[in-house]
Amino acid sequence: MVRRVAGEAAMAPPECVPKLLPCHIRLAEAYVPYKVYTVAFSPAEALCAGTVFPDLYRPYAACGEGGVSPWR
Amino acid sequence: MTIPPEQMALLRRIQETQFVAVDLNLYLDTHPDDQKALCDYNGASLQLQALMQEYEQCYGPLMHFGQEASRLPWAWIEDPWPWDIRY
Repeated sequence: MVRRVAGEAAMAPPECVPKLLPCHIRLAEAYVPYKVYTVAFSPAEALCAGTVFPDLYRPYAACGEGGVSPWR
Repeated sequence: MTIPPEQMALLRRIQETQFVAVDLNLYLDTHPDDQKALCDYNGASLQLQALMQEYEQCYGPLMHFGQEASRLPWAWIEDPWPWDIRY
């Protein structure tokens, strides 16, 4: 496993540890959009949905049982 | 243990309002300057307080202390406790 903090990585070229990875592979960068306030669920809907925010509603679905995955 | 429908309806409204308050609480933890969210949170919080007060006055305590005063005899040991209610 490569353990390296961002500052350290900027200072020196990364060592290829483990050697399985090519040297040009860059560290991962995560992007998370900033949540904007929108409330549309009623309290009753929110309790059932598990969130007040419709844009965070991700119902789980049993894909093998005729359900539709929210990720597709 | 089952309870009358009107008691259940009030309990359900408390649960819904409590859920809205806690979800807005989580949102405000990361957006402390959001005035609209704060306004909605304060509204939910006040409504929750009123609903819990109404419930406890009509049906007995929801929590063992911190809300309403108890009548005599001590009301907390009366059935059903909130978690004994069948939903």
